[in-house]
Amino acid sequence: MIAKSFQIKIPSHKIVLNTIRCHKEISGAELSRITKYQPSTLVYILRSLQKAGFIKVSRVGSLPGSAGKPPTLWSLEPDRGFIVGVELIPYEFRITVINFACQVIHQQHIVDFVDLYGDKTAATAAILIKETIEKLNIPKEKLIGVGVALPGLVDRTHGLVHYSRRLNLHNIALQKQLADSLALPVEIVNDANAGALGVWWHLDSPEPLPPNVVFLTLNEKIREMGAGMLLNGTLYEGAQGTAGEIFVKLPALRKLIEKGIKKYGDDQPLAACLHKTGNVSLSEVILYGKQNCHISNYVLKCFSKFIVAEIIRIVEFLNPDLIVIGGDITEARELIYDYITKNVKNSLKSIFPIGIIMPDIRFSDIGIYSVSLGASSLFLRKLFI
Amino acid sequence: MNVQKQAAWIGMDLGGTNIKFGLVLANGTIHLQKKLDSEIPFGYKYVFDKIAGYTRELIHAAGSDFVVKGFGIGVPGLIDIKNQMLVEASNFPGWKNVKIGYELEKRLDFKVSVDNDANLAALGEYKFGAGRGVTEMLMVTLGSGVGSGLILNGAIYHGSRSAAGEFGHTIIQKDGPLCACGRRGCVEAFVGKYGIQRRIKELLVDYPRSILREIEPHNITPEDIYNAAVKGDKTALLLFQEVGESLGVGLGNVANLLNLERVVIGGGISNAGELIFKPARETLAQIAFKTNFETITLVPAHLGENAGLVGSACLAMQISEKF
Repeated sequence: MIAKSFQIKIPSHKIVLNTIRCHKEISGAELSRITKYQPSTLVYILRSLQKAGFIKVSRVGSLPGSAGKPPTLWSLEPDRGFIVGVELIPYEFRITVINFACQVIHQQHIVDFVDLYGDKTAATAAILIKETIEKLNIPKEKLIGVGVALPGLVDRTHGLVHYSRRLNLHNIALQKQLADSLALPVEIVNDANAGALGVWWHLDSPEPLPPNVVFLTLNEKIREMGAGMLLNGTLYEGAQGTAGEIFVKLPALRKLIEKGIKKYGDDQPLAACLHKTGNVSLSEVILYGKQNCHISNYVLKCFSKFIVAEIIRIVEFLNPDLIVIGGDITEARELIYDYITKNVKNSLKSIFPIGIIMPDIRFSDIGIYSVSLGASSLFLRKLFI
Repeated sequence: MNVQKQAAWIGMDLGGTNIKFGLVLANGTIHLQKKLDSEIPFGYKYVFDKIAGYTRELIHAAGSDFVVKGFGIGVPGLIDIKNQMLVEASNFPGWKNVKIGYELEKRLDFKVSVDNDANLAALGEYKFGAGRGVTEMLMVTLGSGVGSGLILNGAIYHGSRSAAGEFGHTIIQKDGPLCACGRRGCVEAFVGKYGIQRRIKELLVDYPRSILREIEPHNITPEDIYNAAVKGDKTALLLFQEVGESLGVGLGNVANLLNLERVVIGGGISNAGELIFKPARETLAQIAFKTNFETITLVPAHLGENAGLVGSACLAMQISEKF
């Protein structure tokens, strides 16, 4: 539950507020046209929202002609409140902070944090969140809530993590643990579902989002791909909130690189990097791939095969309009996009006659923070819908 | 004295061979029912004229105690929901882009609602059959092909272009047997009628003493296999075990993807009951994640052949509630 100061109970006020959010900046006349509220009603709502500090007059617009009064343009008051979104990855932590106008004000990726695992996960995450809030000087009363996304079977309604193999969590009340230590409203969600929410709230597209969207997430440290689904226009989580676990097992990065070295020899740049440092990250694989390293391209092709397999399974059964790929792999979009779309199409073409269509496949514009940004969206619904 | 008329809806299952239709009450009971030859090759105008005529007869036969509030129809093919149009159907030669809703409304005085027959069978089971009380459900119909309808958040899930829920064409074995769709290893290639016939031929080579050898292999029906299994025939039992396992693999994948509460299995082959259901559940338990397995129940359909008819009426009920 969000604090009373952020609760808007009158539906018409929420509709106006959300319309302003969708347009970023909008005139009263345009609002009246969209919401179909009488100008007098609208003026009352706008004044109420302004008085409560949710909106402000951003500027006075200009008219194409010289006649009439120039329009007053309204926008959300960015400093009215802040939401923290967090993605928990084994030993890693991604955090996104957005303001009331849904603008990102801070993003950070913390790696090699050994305490972000097992029993220590909740306490460590709480410390890192507190540190971020202090660093940004956000007063407590301005914090709307903290959304936390993690891999595994997460029951969002009850705030429970049934199981997260990658974080070594079993049946823990993560939401309560975090809410107690932060003294803030906390929501938890599966990482792929957070990604899907992020797409819904933040995808930068001129077209409205189609009703059936699947978000696939692939991160270096999580070898299972998960699917977050927006079906019939709403987040679909299944009977117990554990939908979207397909468990296509991805091969270990190092094993793939070793196979690539055997195939292409030791003189490739990625091989040299591995020998020098003893370890190679997915980002480095992608970086060398962009420099035409054969081993990198081999590794990325192997990952792409798994992505193709997962997309095919989803399309066969759910036939969504759009598939968005997010997580660490988004950095490789230019290297793998054509391979993925071509192979998905080839595999599915024989079932096109029964009505299955090739979905639009895109990589997330939000990049590696798509999940943490999506986690922050958990509170946007409470504010605007 | 003014007697309140009872609300009723007409549900129709338009198949390639038969038309099943009836007057369905708000509690899902079929008050009156009829079955006709569908005569699809005569073209849609002929068929719709016939449907309109018989519908009027049905309403007349029901008497004046009922008020018909809508008409729902299920068709086995690709449906454009927005335009209430049959795009195409393999069993309906010459029926392309037929605006079923428009054509029937022209001939009848009610709102007509159209959807795919498998979706409507699922809706029927969901509202008045084996799916009551849940919101996330898959219905699988095991017959010549493998049909399926998906209910998510309590509503039919259509996906893009209304072709979602093709459970029969999800691949469970890479490079498996050839499916009618042209790909290999689809669920249908293992548990559909033709997949079963293919497999029984293979098994009879290894099990020459099976009582099924008395029947020409291409004439063996699922009913023959069931009768043999009941008599303890090892080949028949093994085949149903395999069918159940294949079904379980497919359902396990779906359970993990969608965290469903119920899978309802219907169609002729499902009459084998626990001979298929038991191995299906055991395999499902191995494939599905623990939470997802604990959530899901696998049950036989309740409405039998009438699922499509009742589901069509349910669709009409939903639409009439909106207006």
